[in-house]
Amino acid sequence: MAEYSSSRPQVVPVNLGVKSFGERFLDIGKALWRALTVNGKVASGAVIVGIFLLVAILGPIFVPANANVISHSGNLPPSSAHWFGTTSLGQDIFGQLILGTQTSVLWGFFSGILVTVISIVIGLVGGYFGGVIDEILSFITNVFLVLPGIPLMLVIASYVPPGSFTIALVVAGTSWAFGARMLRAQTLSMRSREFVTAARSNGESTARIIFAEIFPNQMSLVAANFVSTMIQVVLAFATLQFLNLGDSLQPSWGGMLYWANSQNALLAGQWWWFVPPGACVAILGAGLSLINFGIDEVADPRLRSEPKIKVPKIKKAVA
Amino acid sequence: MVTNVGTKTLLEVRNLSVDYSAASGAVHAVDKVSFSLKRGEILGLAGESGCGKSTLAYAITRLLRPPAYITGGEVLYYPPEGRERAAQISKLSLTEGTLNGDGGGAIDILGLTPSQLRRFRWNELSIVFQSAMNALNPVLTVGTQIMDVLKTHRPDMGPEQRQRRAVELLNLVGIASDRLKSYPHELSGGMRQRAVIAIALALNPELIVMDEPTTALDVVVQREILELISSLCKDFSMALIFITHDLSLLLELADKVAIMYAGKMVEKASSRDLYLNPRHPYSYGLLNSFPNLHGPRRSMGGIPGSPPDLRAVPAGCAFNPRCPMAFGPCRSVVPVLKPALPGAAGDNAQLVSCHIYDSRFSAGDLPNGEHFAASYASKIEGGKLR
Amino acid sequence: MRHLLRRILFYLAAVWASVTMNFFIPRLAPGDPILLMVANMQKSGIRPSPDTIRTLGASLGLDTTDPLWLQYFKYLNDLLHGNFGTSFTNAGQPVAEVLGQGIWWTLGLGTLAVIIGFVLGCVIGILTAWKRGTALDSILSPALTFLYAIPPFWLALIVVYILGFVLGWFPFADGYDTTMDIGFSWDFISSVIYHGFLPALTLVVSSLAGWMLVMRNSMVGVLSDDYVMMARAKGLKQGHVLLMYAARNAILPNIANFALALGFVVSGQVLTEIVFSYPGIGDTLFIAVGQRDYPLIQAAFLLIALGVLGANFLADMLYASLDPRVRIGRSA
Repeated sequence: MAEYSSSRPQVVPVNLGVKSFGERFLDIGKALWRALTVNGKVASGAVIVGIFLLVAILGPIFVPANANVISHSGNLPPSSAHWFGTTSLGQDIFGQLILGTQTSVLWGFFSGILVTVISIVIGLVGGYFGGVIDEILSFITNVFLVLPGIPLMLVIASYVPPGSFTIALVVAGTSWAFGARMLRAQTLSMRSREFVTAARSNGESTARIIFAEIFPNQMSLVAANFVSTMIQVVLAFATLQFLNLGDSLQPSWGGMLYWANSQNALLAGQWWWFVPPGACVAILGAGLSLINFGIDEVADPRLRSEPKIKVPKIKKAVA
Repeated sequence: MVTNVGTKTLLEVRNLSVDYSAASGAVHAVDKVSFSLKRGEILGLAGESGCGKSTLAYAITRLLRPPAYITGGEVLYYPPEGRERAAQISKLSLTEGTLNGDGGGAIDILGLTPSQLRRFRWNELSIVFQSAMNALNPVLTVGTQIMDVLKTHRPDMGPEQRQRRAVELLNLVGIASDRLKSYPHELSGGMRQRAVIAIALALNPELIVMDEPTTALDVVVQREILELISSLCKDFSMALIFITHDLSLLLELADKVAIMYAGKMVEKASSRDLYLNPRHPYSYGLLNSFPNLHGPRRSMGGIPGSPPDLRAVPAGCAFNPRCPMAFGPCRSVVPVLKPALPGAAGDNAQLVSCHIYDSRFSAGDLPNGEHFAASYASKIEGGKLR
Repeated sequence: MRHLLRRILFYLAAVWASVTMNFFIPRLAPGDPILLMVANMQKSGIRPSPDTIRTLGASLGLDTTDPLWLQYFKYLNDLLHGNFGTSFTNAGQPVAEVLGQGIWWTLGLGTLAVIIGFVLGCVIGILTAWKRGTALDSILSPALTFLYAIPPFWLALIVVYILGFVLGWFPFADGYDTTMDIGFSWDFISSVIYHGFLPALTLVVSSLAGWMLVMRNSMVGVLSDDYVMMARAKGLKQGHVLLMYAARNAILPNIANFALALGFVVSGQVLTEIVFSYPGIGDTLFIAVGQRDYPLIQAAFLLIALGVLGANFLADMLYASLDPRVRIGRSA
């Protein structure tokens, strides 16, 4: 019967490397789709993040180019012409929000990738080599882990000329420690596995072993870490922009809040100026957190909420 | 019909069923299981993982967690007579009047309210969990974990009395008194399991349920623990339900052994009967999937295939797709547990749930070990050829 | 004891590392701090004389021809003697004095907010895990997930707007009524509490969610552990099982991750102080960054870093006292 036909060695049709590029692309798409729909939280988080991505990429096309241009109609409340009103300089707040989405999301992604790359290099190198190299890298990681991020960013940003690129560098330089610690632990446990030993005895170069043998096995961990890094990075970016350490001419969520605050939008009751950008940061952050919590649930089934089911009452029958 | 209920019976389980609720519908993890246990008797529950043996034990102790629910049946506990705590319990919980002519009255465990259950458990029935490392709180000392039982259930005891009792319990399971202040991580695996047993003994229960208590231990320690359990049961005339997938262990320890498959009890016999004459083809297969050092040499075959997915149990006898001796009715008629030998009755009769022993379906000789061995061999051979 | 020693060594090394970083950041920075400072002064209409510029350089220790290592040891020596230099902007006040005022405000507000936030977050985490699937859990958990993502400074703005501006219940700037004399009078203390309420509320609310989510997850895990089931089976009282068996273990990850969480809290506090113009170190740091007052920036950062390291050390000790497995030297 079918039950134990599986114990027979089966002849697997050899089909190596004959997949067309299109097929492979389809495979990756399918895997991605499975990953996104495996869990309700991941799915809803992905929808939220996806909408922000779309707005960031396509939004600016639909926004009049002069959204950030100063006009004479300042401090207008929301209307059909200006959905979220205008700033004190007469800039259209809705248009700024869309352009700001582009700045925040794209720079967020860029620095998120930068952070991840630093974590990977430090974590993998320390974990693989062990010994003195690891001791030193671990110490640096642990110090960066306990140093407060925003004050450190403030200090560094005070010495470097302001701008989005420098913010990205500062954020990357101060946020990599957590990911590095996690990847180091993972590498440490992988270092003595057979496939690594085999690669080493084949005479493969150290760099190749670390980045071509070990690294691909940590992709899921890296992906999960990337999501939590993004939450941090988007927040840090908005914070530094809010402190006017970014490019003050380029519209961004944090920059809008800076202007709203410094132009006393609060005391003028112009809530439509300072609520939308903060809400965007919060909603994008919540979307990313949802993905993160969803991943946690997939990894640890105990966290899943119990399905709502009717509890059958036991019938109390006495003989 | 069990006739000899009397005061010798400690626990009676009748048609107990447990379902796991799942989005796709209920899964019958334990299906109408009945058995009874005498005072001081050691009953072994064996079967492959997923057969429902642990679920059955947790149902008896009312420790099931959602999504598992008891859907029917009764678990009756007959408190010992003449002991002061019997009066205490019957005062605390429901007495069922006269059951089966038994004057003592039984406690319906499934009907206890949460507060009654709290007083009942550990006083009368305690549990030893599978992994001792996980069953002990890592941040409390072993002594604290023994004494908080005493504090809760014996409020009249003073701190010194509790301490003395805790030391006494540790000594009983072979742990030195100075370990009272040790944390779980400071003990070896075997010591931890001993400590868990000491906690289970704290209130001198009538019955202990042990869920694979030795599985995580190495063989030497396993043996020591088994000897400890066996001698404790004798000394305190405690009854024991011992769950394991290792049938060879049970044959040494248990008075009676029950074999479970796919939520049903397929055979129940004294360990001697089961060892010498396993009646159910599954029991035979299970018995021969472990090496035996003392018995006659048997060929080690194992059972082909794997336990059924409980969401889709085969029709008829759940074992039929893997059974080497399956015939017509096995695929359509569900067998019931009844005496294997015609005319045999009473507590010690070997019960089996298999159509081979049903005169309606098969007449002729009862199969013996050679039959089983031969048909298993040909089943495995056939599987390979196909 | 070995564990304690290891941790003390680590924190000493970490202090050294932050001091060293503080020394090297200005020297490695691409721009010339003096030029940045001069540009900043010119923006506000001051034309510094060459003499002033030289003094600026001297006060930063950037004007010497000493080799780097000598500068470094001079710097360490100054720090050991509490000599942080003089602030450019606060009328030439020594930096130590400028920060000496702020530190109590920051410590007071921060300690209070961290303790309240931690306790409240843990309690909510315990309750939502214990009552999992009930209305309480299904309302609180998603709500706090959203709260978790809210930027603290935006929360501060909203709090200022609603509770301070629209409703007018609380003042939303300064740490006390600035018309009053500072002193140990009841009027002054009540004014401090009154002014501190909104910043504290912001900090508690923004840190609450982090503590709560970690606590809930860890509690859910612990509740399905065998020892909790065994504690229940033993017939222990609900409260005893909940506190001594479940929560006692579930709180450990929260304390172990204290360092990580504290980083967010401190960042949140700096922002909160800025939004509320609270007279703490965070606000001082921000103003100093705006004016490129480098001696003040360096010292403020160093103080914050020391504070965070100290708090982490306390959390480490607490962890060791709560988890017997760490005490015997195996560092977690």
